[in-house]
Amino acid sequence: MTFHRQILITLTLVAASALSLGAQAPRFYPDDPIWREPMTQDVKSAARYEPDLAFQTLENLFSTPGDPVRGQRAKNINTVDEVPDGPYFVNRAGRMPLTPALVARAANTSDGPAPGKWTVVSAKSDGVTPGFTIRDAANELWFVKFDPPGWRAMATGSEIVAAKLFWSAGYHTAEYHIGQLVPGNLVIGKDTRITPPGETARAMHQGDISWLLSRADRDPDGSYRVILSKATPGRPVGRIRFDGTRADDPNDIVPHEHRRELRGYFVFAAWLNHVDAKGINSLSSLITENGRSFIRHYLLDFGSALGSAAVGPREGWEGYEALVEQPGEIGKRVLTFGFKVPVWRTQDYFESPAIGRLPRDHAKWDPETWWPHITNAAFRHMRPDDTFWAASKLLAITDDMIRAAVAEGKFGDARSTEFLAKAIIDRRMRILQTFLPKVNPIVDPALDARGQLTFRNAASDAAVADRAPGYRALWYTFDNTSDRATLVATTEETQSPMLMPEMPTTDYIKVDLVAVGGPEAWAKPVSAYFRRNSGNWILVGFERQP
Amino acid sequence: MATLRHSFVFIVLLSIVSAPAAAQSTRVEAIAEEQAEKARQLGAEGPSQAEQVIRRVLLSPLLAGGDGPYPWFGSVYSGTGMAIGAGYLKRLQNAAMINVQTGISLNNSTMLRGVAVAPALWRGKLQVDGAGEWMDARGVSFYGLGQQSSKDTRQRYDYTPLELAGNLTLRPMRFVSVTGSYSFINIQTHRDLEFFAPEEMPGIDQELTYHATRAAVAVDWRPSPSYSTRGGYYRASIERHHESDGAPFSFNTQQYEVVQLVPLVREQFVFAARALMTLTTTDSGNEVPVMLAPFLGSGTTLRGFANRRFSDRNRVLFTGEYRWRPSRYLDMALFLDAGQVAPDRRDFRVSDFETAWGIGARFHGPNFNAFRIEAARGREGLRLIFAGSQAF
Repeated sequence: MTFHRQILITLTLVAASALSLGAQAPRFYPDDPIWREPMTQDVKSAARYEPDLAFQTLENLFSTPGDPVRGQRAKNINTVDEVPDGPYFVNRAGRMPLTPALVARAANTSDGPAPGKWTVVSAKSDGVTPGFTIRDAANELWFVKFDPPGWRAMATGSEIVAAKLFWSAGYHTAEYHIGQLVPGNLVIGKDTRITPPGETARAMHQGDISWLLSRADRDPDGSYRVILSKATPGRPVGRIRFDGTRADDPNDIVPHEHRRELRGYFVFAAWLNHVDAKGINSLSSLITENGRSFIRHYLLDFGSALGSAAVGPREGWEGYEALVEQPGEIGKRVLTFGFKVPVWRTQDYFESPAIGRLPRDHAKWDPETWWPHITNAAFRHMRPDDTFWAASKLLAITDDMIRAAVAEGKFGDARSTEFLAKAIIDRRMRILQTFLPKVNPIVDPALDARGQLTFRNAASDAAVADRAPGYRALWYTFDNTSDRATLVATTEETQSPMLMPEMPTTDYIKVDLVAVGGPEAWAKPVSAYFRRNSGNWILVGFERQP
Repeated sequence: MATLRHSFVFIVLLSIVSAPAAAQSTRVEAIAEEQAEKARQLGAEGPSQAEQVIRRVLLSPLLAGGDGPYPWFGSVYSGTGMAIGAGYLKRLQNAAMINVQTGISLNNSTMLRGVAVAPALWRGKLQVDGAGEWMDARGVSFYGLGQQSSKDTRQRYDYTPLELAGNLTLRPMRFVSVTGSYSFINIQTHRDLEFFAPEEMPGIDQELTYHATRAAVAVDWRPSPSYSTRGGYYRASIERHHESDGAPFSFNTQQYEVVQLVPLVREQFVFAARALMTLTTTDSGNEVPVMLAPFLGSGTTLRGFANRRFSDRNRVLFTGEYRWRPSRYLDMALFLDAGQVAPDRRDFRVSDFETAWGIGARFHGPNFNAFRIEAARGREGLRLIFAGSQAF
């Protein structure tokens, strides 16, 4: 081999190594963890697409849209296992100082429609309950919905409560108010049209108003209790889809079934018995701010939540079974001549016109067996670390906050109000009991400059699990470029804090933490990654095994 | 040396060209690069091909349930088998409508029927409608009159009635309806073989023309007459069939029916019971024609026996069902039917009742029955029943 050839081979190997190293992204970037989902592209041409409800129903009943590979970790989380603020979700519970007053206010920025006449610009004539779209004196657009006859406050109050609590959890919701509609205050817009059932579209007249109101609960003074939701900012471009990405949104790069906040939506929906948690009860809006457009997704229409089924009280099966029951379950019931009785047929219920119908006792409620009417790809891809994430948000929503949200429902019946608040509190507790201990519940790891490692056990702190007898830490040096960890030492303590052992000089430390002697799931390590920064250790990574 | 220099330049260029994969120095830049990549290949948000197909199918008048043509499944006449056809529905203001159906059955029987409902009057308490029906029912069975008839003595005949009717229904209060009707009925029958003598088979091979009047009162507090799990239905009717051409086939009919549904364990179980009694009396020297005589044996009366297996001037039928509900769309049922036909109402004896029992599955919606399949066993064997209507 000539000298020149040797040099050439050497250069090629060096270049190949450089390419190899250069092609591999580091595990942690300097700006990790990010807390805001980048939306770097201007959404120039998003067209409105209204998915077909029947198709969505059939699709999710009889097929499994989305990624066929289950068990994948959520892909939109930051490096510390959290969901950054983004188009679907903003970190509130557990990240901002929520107060009962803040929960009661939630997304509201006003006191409701401006005083004056309400101009009807359209009406919902199909379906069972009526609805109007009105413009107030300040030209703001509001959607008006009613309670079904005989169930004053049930649908409107439940919707308010659910909206406040979904907002507290972190989802984008509309502005909601309870109001009073006086028929004489309605003015029909000059171009307002209506399509009565079985008829073609025509100009709306006063008789239509009377007909629509005849299907709503009427107060003795002739007025109607209503819920008013303010039109969300921007231009509607469709609904949340739970699989794939929007083809026309360049910022939308994570398939929705792999978005943690959409997976975790299951837990919040189960909490509030929001059985109608489907795409059509949401709104995607194209919003322009500072000359740049992006799409934000709102949850809407919570009329079928808690004890309300919007058109009447919640049916017993709702929350316990999907729209179509599981074939195996049907088969068992056929073969047992009906003596395999579903729990919802035998349990005791609390029922009142103000809040509808809810199981009287939630002490044995199992959130894992909760069913929405129609499930979706995100729910199917949900893993225990996703449900833990959602449950940890609920940890930060206190009983007082729940009571504040329930008070906003203005149910007008103290006994029902008290029961509803207790039911929500109890269901929250069942979620904590179910989902927090199901994975290794270590949270908030921190390593100080003196080498003292602190952490918390979310399950035992919430008193939903016994304290672990001890904790083991496996200490590694970590190479951020090659993504390689090298075990240096193992230490054990009965509780936090733990002391860092003698470590080689390194920029990154990885610590695997397990609970010793606790439940089996707690033996799966959580991994915390710390980066040296001016003598301090900064948490840059956190992973929880499902 | 020149070769080495050229190679070095190539390697450096290769490194530069390949570098963008690792060019981002922050997480935001890395994500921005992915978003920029997607921005270069944006598409239009819209329905998938599968959704487009489903939309087209569901929005077609055939399935949308709105006005226009729709598919029809049912029965042309009891015993002629499953039938398919088409209908046309036009809804008008104030609950008025026009509905026309035509169909053909497995045994080639055909029918054409229509109903026109006038706008509701008196705040919906009064309804007037007119109906017309023509059918050509092939191979209708007759086994001879009486409970002792043999299943081996079956006579088949073709039955072709034309009926034009007007009905007036008053609903003075919730659950209660009172109906008065008038019908013009023309009946023709035909048979190829004369198994029974004409006197053993009243009315056969003759053209009969009736002016029929009927009055009925009913209390129905079931949530839906087409499918319910609770409530009751009680009906009494009297009917006069006057043969207008002087043929000796004028007769009167009284019919009483009670249906009671008793739900248990929040409707997990339903005990359903039905009693039906049909009594006829004739003018002096007149007969009840076999085509209009009460009968037992069908998917709704004495299941487990052939269609129209027992026929006579009077009948009584009792049915009990134990229903359980494995799904909100599927009911199962164990049932027992018992009944008798007799020339005189005084001849009814429990010891003479024919019985049949069986099991059934009923697929249904919240307030309608879609399909029913049942296996029923009587002393003459096992029968399978496929029907679009509920048993009762």
